[in-house]
Amino acid sequence: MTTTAWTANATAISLLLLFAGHAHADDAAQNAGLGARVFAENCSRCHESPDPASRSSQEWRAISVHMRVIAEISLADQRNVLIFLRTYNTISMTRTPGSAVTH
Amino acid sequence: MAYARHTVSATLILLAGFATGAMAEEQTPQTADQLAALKQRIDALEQQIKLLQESAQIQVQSPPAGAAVTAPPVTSAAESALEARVWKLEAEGQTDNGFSVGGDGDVTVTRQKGLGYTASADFNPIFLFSSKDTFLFVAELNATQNGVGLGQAWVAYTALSHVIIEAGYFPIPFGAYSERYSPTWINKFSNLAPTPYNEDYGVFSGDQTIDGAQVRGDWTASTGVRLNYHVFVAAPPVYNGPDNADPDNRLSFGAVNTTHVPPTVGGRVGFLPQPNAEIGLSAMAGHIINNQTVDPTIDDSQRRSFAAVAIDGDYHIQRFIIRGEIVRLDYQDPSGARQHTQGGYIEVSRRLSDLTGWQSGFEPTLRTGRMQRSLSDNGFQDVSELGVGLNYYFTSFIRSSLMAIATSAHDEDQISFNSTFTF
Repeated sequence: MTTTAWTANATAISLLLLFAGHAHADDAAQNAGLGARVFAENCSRCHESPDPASRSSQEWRAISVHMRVIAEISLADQRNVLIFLRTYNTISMTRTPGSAVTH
Repeated sequence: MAYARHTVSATLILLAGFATGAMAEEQTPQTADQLAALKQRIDALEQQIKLLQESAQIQVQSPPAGAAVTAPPVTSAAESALEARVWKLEAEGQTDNGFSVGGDGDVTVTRQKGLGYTASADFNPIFLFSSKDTFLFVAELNATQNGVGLGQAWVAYTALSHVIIEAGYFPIPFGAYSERYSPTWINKFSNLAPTPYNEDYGVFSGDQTIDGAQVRGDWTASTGVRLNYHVFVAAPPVYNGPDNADPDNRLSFGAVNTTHVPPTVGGRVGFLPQPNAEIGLSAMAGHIINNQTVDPTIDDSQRRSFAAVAIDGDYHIQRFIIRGEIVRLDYQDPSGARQHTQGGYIEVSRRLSDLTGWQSGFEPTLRTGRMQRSLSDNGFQDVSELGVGLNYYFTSFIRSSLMAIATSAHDEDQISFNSTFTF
């Protein structure tokens, strides 16, 4: 997926969270947006960007720590990427409620 | 007159603005009911978050590996927002552990001048375990037709936000290839190493893994400029010199550990003026272990010194990537005379993702490199290399590649087909 596509996804996620009308949604949307940007900018520097839906939360946590060390991204950016990945997956599930998901 | 007209126009615009604002504030009874229900739902979920926080039970409940589960009935963006808050709390609370098994594998068929066809396959699972975002344990196995070996095994401890301490058996942070680009599924030329890492005439015999420890970290300035650093201490390298059975002169780390020779010390500094560009400077120095398994007559106590420097760089825009590295090695040969080896490569690739359909999976690649070295017998070796390749990505984790390499020495000319996957 291209950087443009990831940016579009980040925007969609941010808008969905903001439309929730919840005061605290701003922070989460901002974190997810920042995480999407870090994901798009850093993963593709060395390899193809992975599918956010391809891993469980527990797996993404270990992988994100590994990539933080190898790709030299900050702790804050690593956590924003995690929030983006989890938000992305939930919104993907929202689009097809009740569908089977293999972790 | 004109002034009066403008005043009236401005007043009308203001009135229109107020009217629009007032209309926007209006809510139908149905919308009000929906909002009230939504707020009730949000309050309930917030209460749930609070209880979870208090009981310190905020954890990700992952199903067993491979199990198919039904997605939770997430039906509103409001719930997504609240879940995102929970995840954020988890992330910031450092309450979670992580575990992942990934890796890669590949199959290669090569036709090399003078050698005919050869085939090879390998499988490299990598195990990751993280604890509270502070500790990371990494272990990788390399399985080939010849057996199973250890690819890497190290632990990293995040001591401070800009300081990570790493120890074990890890890819050398010298240049960029060994640590970042050497896995077959990442390397744009699959399992064909760039010129300075060529198994036969490079500075190093392939990508390098060292026994040692390093301190590493990164900074990001408010302007977005990033800086990263590595400082490492490692067991000394083996040198396969011209007096040995192997006629090629290359450094190889990680093969032998000895207490007779002082450790190698080195490091790398990376500078990213913008997110899609990096320039790295590396240096290391130490002493060489003579490969006594090949030439037992050479004594380690000679303490032959070596020093190496490297400059690496990469830039990517859209799906165009350019990478390169220049390496120079100065060392003492067994007679004590100074010799040097230097060389570099530059590689460009462009994924054709702007094409539609299956054609977007293509990625043409081009790589050129050159190595020069002085030899103990006053000889001089100069090898140039040109490679062209075509990768095809079936998915982001399955790729096939067709590559051709031509060298000025000609005995390394080859055509290679590789299929690789990552998981």
